[in-house]
Amino acid sequence: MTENAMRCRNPRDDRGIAMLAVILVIAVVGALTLTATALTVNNLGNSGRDRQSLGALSSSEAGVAQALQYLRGTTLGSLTCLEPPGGPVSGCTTSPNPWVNSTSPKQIRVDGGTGACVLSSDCFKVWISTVKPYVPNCAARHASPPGQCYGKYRIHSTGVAGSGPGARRLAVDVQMQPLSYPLGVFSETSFSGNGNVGLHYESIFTGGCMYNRQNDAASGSGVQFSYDAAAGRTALDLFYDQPAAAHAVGGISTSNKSCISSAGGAPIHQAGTTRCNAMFRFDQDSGASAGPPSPAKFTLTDSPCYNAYVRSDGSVYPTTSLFTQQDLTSTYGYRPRGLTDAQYDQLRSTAQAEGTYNLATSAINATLTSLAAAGITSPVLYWDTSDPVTTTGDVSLKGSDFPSSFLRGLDSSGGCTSNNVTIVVAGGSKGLSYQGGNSSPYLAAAIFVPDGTLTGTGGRNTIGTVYAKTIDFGGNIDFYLDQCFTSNPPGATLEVQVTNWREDDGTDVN
Amino acid sequence: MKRLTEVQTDKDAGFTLVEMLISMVVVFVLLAVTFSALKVSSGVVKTSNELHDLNEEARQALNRMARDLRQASSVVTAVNPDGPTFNSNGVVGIRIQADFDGDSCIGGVALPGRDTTLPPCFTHNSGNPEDITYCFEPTTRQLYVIDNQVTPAVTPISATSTNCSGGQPLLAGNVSAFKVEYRSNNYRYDINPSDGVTTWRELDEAGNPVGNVNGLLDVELANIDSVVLNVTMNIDNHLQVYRTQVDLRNTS
Repeated sequence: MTENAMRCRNPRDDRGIAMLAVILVIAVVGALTLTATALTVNNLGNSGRDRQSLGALSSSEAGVAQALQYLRGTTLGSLTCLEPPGGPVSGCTTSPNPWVNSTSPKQIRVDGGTGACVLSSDCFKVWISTVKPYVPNCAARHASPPGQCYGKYRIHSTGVAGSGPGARRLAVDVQMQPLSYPLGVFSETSFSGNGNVGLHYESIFTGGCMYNRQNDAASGSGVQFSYDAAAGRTALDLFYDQPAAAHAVGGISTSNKSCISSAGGAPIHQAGTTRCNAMFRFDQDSGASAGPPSPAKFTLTDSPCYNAYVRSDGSVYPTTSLFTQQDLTSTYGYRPRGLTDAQYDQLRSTAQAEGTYNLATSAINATLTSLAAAGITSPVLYWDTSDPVTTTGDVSLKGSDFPSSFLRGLDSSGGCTSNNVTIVVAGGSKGLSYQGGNSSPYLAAAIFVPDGTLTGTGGRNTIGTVYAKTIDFGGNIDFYLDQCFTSNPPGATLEVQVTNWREDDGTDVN
Repeated sequence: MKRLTEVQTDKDAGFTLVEMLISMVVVFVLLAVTFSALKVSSGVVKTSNELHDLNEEARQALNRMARDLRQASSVVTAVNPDGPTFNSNGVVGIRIQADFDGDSCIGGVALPGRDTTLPPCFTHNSGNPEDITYCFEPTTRQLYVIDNQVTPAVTPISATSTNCSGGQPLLAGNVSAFKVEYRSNNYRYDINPSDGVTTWRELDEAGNPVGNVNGLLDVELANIDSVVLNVTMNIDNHLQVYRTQVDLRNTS
C-alpha cells in the first residue's frame, strides 16, 4: 500500500514540468512556423505582384503589336486624334473609332475572354494619336538626295494583368512613310498605250520604252496627260509637285512601234538635235543623250524646257531632258520588282492575316465589306501566281468585284478617310487584267504586278498608283491621283518604323 | 499499522534533495535547450527578414535599372565592363541617355536629326533625368544613380573615375559586386567563341566597321543591343547574386 502511494505521488508532481516543456517547445516551433509563414506569404505576394507587373507589360506589348497591325491595315486619314504639343492629350474623345479615342480606347482581352476589359481580366487598352501628320510634299522631297516625307504617330497602350495594381502603360512612337518606289504609273520594261490612255495628276515612269506619246494640248488617241490650258502645261503631279510627265529610260516615241528611228520609231528627243522638245517640255528620256556608254548630263539653258516650273519649295524642274537609270533609282526610289522580297512577304503576310490571300474574285465584295466593318479600311489582296492550283491564268478583276465603299469619285481634300486597297499579283509570270468603268466612282488602289503584265482592253478608271513589269493598255483607260490618295495612302504601302519605346508613367494608370 | 501511520505523517513532506537536484538539472537542461532554440530561431528569423529585405531591395533596384536601360536610346560610356580585364575592385559604371518624355530630346538637348517642326524640347527635369549613370563604388559597397545634367554639374564617369561622385544611393548598401555584360545582336560577329552570344569583345576583335581592335569598349557601344546586369549582395556572410538581361529597345 505504501509503495503504491509513493508511485502515485511522483508522477502527479512532475506533470507541470512536462507541460511547461511542451508549452515552450510549442512556442518556439509556433514562432518559427509563424515567421516562416509570414515570410512565405509576403514573398508570394511580392512575387505575385512582380509577375502581374510583367504580365501587364506583356499585355501592353500585345497592344502595341495590335496597333502596328492596325496601322498597316488602315489609312492615315483615319488617324484623327492630334497629340497636343507640350501636354497631355485632351479631346480625342468623340470619335466612334476606338483606335483614336483616348477615353474609349480599343480594348482587347488576352486571357481568352471576349469583349472589353473587365475586373480581374488580362487585357490591354490601346489608342493612337498623331504627333506629326503625314504631308506628301514635305520640304525634303526635292532635296539632294531627296528626303522621305513621313508622319509620326504615338501608340498608347495600357496593359492590365488580373486585378492589378500591375498596370503598365507604354507610349511607342512610330514613323510612317511610303515605301520607296516610283509613285505614279510605272512599268519596268515598257509602257504601251494603244488606246486612249489618260494620266491625270500623276506621271509615267519606265525603265524601257514608252510608246504612242501624244500631244497633251490636243485631242486624240495615245498617251496623254491632263492639260492645264491656263498654265500652258500639263497638270501637276500631286505626289512629286511638278508637271506630270513621262520619264522613260529607254526613250519616248510618238509611234507605237519603237523608240529607235531606224526601226520605225519617232523619238521625241534625239542626240545632238532635239534635246528639248517644246511639245513635251517636261518629258525626260535617254534619247537625247550624247550616247553610250556614259551619257553626260547636260543642261538645257535658254531652251523652252529649262526650269519651266518652280516647285512650291523653290526648286526648279527640269534642268535637263536626259533621264537615266541612275535618275530612276536615286530620285524616284526605283528598285527591281518595285519592292523588296521582304516587303512583298510583308504584304503576303498581311493578306494571309486578313483572309485575302489568293481570294476568289467572287468573294472579294463580302470579304472587303466585313474587313472595313472591322476597321481594316485598307486591306491587301494578294495573288501568288506561282501557285498553278490557285492561279491558272491572269488574275481578272472588274470594278463590280469591289464593294461600293472602296469606290469613290475624285476628292481634293487631304483629310479624307476614304477606303482603299492594295492589289498584288506576284510570284509567277501571270499578270493582271482589270476592267473597270468609265465613269465615277473609281477604285482607289495601289497595284503591284512585278512579274507579269498589267493589261486592259476595255474601259478602266483607277485612282492610285501602279507598278508592273510591263503595261499594255488598249481602249479608254484613265489613271488618277488626287489629294485624298496622296495624303491618305494605303497603310500596307507604308513603312512603319518604331522610333521610340518608353513606359509612360506621367499619370496613374490604375 | 505503524508504517501506515508514518506514511500519513510524511504526506506533507517536500521533495528530497536528490529529487530537487534531479528536477533542477532537468529544468535547466530544458531551459538551456529552449533558450538555445529560441536564440537559433531568432537568428533564423533575423536572417530571413534580412534576406527578404535584400531580395525586395534588389528586385526594385534591378527593375528600375532594367526599366531605364530598356528605354535607353544610347549607351554613352561603359566603365570597367565584363571581360578578362574586369577589375572587381574598381568602379563600375554605365552611362545611358533615354528620351523618357518622348520629345526627341535628352534633358532639353535635341537629339541629332530631330524634326524641326516638332514643339520645343522639355527642359531638364531632375525628377526624371534623361542622362543618367548607374555606378558602383566598391569602397562604399554602394550602387549609385547619377543625374549627369544636375546643377551644379557633375563630372561624367570615365575610365579614370575612382568614385561615383554626385550620385544618389540606389540601394541601402550591402552590394559586394556589380558587373555589366554588353552584347550585340550582330550575330555575324559571334565567332570567338561561336556560342550564340555576340559580346563587345567579339565586336572589338572584328574591327571596322563595328570595332577598333583596341581591347576597350568604346566605338563598339554603337552596336550594343542588350546588357546583362549582375548584382551581388552580401549580408551576414549570405551571398546573393541577382542577374537579369535587358534589351535596349531604342538603340538603332
